[in-house]
Order: sequence, then C-alpha cells, then structure tokens
Amino acid sequence: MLTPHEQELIHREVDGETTPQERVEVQKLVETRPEALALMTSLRALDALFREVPDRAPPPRVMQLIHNAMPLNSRASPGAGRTQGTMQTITSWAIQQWNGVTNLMGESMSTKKVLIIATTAVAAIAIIGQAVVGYSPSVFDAGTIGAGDGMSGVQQAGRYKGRPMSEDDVTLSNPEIHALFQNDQVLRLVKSEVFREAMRDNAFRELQSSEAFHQLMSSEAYRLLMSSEAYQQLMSSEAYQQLMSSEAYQQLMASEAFREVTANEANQQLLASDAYRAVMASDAYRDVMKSDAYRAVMKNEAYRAVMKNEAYRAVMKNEAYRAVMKSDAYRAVMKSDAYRAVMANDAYRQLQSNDLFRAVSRSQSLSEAFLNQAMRVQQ
Amino acid sequence: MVKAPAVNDDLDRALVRRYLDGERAAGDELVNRFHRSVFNVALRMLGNVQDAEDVTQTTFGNAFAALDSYDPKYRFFSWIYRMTVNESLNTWKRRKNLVSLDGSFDVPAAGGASESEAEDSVQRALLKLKPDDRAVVVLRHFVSFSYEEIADVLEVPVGTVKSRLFTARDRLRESLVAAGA
Repeated sequence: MLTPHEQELIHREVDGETTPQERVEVQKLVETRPEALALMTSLRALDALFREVPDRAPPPRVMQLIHNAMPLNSRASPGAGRTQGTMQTITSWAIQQWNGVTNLMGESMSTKKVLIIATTAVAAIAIIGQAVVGYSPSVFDAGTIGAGDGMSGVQQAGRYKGRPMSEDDVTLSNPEIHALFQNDQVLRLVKSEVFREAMRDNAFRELQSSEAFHQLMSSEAYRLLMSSEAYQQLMSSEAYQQLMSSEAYQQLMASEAFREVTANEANQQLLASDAYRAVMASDAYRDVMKSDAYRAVMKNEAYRAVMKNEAYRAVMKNEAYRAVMKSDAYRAVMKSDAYRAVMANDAYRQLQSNDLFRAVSRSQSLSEAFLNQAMRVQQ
Repeated sequence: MVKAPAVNDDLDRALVRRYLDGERAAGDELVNRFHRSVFNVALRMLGNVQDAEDVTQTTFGNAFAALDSYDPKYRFFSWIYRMTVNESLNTWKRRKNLVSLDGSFDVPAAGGASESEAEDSVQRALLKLKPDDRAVVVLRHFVSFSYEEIADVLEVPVGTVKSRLFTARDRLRESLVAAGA
C-alpha cells in the first residue's frame, strides 16, 4: 500500500513537478513496488487519453462576438463613450470580414445590418404610401423633408392634410415622379391589398407619426446613406431582394426576441441582454445566417461599400435612429402582418431594383418634389 | 490538448498597455492569443459548445470592460483564465438542473472515430467531477499549467491544487474504467 506521500510523488512525476532527487525516489518506487508501477502506468494512460482529446476551434462567430464586445478604450479617446466605441468596433470589424477573415459574418454585426435595412424599407413604404392612401403621417409634418420653396415644411404638410388622394389625383409634373407612377410595379404595389393594409396599419401610422422616426428620416446622415451609390446598388441587388423576401428574415424581424434586441441595442446593453442571446439562439436568426441570400448579401461589393460608408456609420450613431429602434411603434411594425406582407410582395421586391422608386424613397429632393406636387394637386 | 499560448507576461502586459493607450490592434492580438484556449477551457468545463461560446464571449466582454482596472502586477493569463473558470462555474450552476450527467453535452466529433471516442469518454468523466476539481483537471491537462499557475488562476494554495487534482484523477480513472475506456 502506497503512502499518501508516495502517491503524491508519482502524481507529481507524471506532471513533471518533481525535483531531480524526487525523480530518483520515484524511479526506485516504480522498480520495487508493483502498486507504484500500476499507479504510474494508470496515470500515464490517463494523461495519454487527455492528449487524444482534440483542441477545438471556436466557431468564427465567437471571434466576431468578442470583437463586437470590445469597446474602444476611453483613455484613448476621451470624448468617445462606450456607445461610439461599440459602433466603431462593429464597423471596423465588418471591414475586417471583407478582407477575408471569414465568409460568415458576425451575428451582432448582422443584427445591425438588418436593422438599417428594415428601417429603410419602412421609410420607402411610407413615402410611396403617401401618394396612394393619402393619410398624413407626421414624418412630413415638421418640415425638414418638406421644407423648401420658401415655405416651411410644417406649412406644406398642413396644406397637404386636406383630403385623401386618389390615383387620379397623382398627376405629377416632375418627370421622375411622374414616370414612377407610370411604372407597372409601382401601380401593382400601391393597388395591392397588402400595401393598403400596411398603410392602414395602426402600428405603421404610429411609427411614422413618431418624433424619432421623423428625426431619423430628416437626418443628414440618413439622407446621405440613402443617396449613396453603394446603398443604391445594394438595394437593387438580387441577393438583397431575396433576403428581404425570405421567410426566415421575416420571421426574425417579427420575433419578440429580435425586437427586444433592437431596443437593448439602442441602450447599448446588447451583449449582456437575454434578448440578444435569444436572438442568437433563434431558429429564424440561424436560418437567416445560413441562407444563401444572406451570404450573398454579405459578399456583395455594394454591401461592403455601405458598411464602410461614413453615412452608414453616422446613421448607426444617430440618436434618432436608436430612438426609432427602441420605439414601441417600430416594434409593432416589425411584427405586423401587414409589414411582412409588403416585404414579401412581388411588386415591392421588384421595386427595390427600380431606379425611380429608389430615388423617391431615398432622395430628399425627390421627396420634396413629390410633396410639392401632391400639394399642387390639392390646390 | 489545447494549444494554449505560451505564457509571456511581458508581451501580455505590453499588449494591455498598448490597448489602453488606444491601439486597437493590441486588443485584437490579446483576443487572438487567448480566445481559442479560453473557448476550450469553457468547453471542457461545461461539455456544451453553445455554453462555451457564451462563456468565451462573456469572458472577453467582461475583460475588456474591466481592462482599465487591470493591475499589471498580476499576470494577464491568470486574470483571463480566472474569469473563464468563474464564468464557466456560474454557467454550470445556472444549468446544473438542466444538464444530465450521463451525456447531454454536445461536443461535436472532429476527425476520426478514435478521437471522438476519446473525447466522449473524457468529457463524460469530466462532467462527473465536482466543478472545482474539474477546473483543476482542465487547467492541468488541457492547458498544461503547472501547479503554481493553476493556484494563481484559481487563487487557492498549491496544496489545494494538488489535493484536488490527485483526488479528481482517482475519480476519473474509476469513471473511465467503469465506462470501459
């Protein structure tokens, strides 16, 4: 029977923790005591078994999540808070992805991507819906978009609020807008029940009436992003359209967990939130991540350009954008059947690649022209 | 066996200092140095890939959030592995009612069948250990830390490390023999 000291010596020998003198002592033990040899052999076998266990490479997304969680240090940039650091971190990490680190984009990163895409989609629907249903969301009320021609936006919008517009009313003199309404896809969309349903949707109206949404729509950063060439190309890409219309994407946008994340993200509590983990673990999210459409968007040159776009970065830092993300109205839109139906509408999807549609939905000048024309109709 | 980064305290301290001075690449290098071994420690502690991912993410998130308060007189690797073990233990406590000791872990197979069998056997035996003992075994056998380094990470005396390790090995051998490994 080995004493505790003798057993410890053998353990330490296996671990390489013995002194030269102790090694001699262990050697004698093993040579003279069968139980010592048995213990030594057993421990060596155990050690060998551990060595057979392979080293696992963590999934690429783990690395990305770590980077997402890495704030820029406040000492380095005293004026920059954690919020700004996180945004910059995410953006810079996205750029690294494009340099070939991995083809699979990070999960937090992609959450932000779908947010901006979804917000843009809401804005596009709002603008085109203005012409058809004719209600007057206050996104145009406070004047930034509608301001011009020596008349404040508030005044213009007030005049515009006169009555609902019919299709016949839309006799737009601006050639681009006129052409837009000659477009079959536009007409198909605006005549569709799903679109009208979206326009009637209370959640949608509330979102457009919210101050946060208005501020986002009228922010310079948002406008710059919408008008950037890269963003335009992305909007018209086949991959983007497929992603937008995919069931997985729509389920993700409608999920409670995703909406929780959007709110938490705005509060910069994303990584610590249970909601974030719920999104990461959701089938819808994983389906989006695995979808060919998503991967195609990730590899899309235009998308990469958007990620590097200063305007995009500015939007992501924009307080109004964050406020929209955490607004109840936005959440309600994301989960509304009407919104999802529009996203899946063939005509809407085709419109994403229509130059004129995109121009109206993103351009300040065309938005102004649209409103001006609409007001002339009322006069 | 985890390919743990070679202990290089001077390098780690320099990277921390550079990161705190605003050099983001230094933070990236710290992550690159440790993320794989941190993940593997968490994986062996928990036997669950998803939990290991969460622990890895949380560990680095906490580390970078607290890096301002990191005292360079302490070894960085001890600090990061201590966080890893503590986070793993916290996760284990949260999940212990959900994890079946007889095999609900989901470590994926990689490579040949013999590798997978060894991994399965070892992981199952590890999960039968008390968490504190498991931590010692993982740091010794998967990260190849010395007794002193393990004591440093776990903030316990070297004697406690040896006691836990030797006891745990006896139990491991019994489990593995019983399982026919």
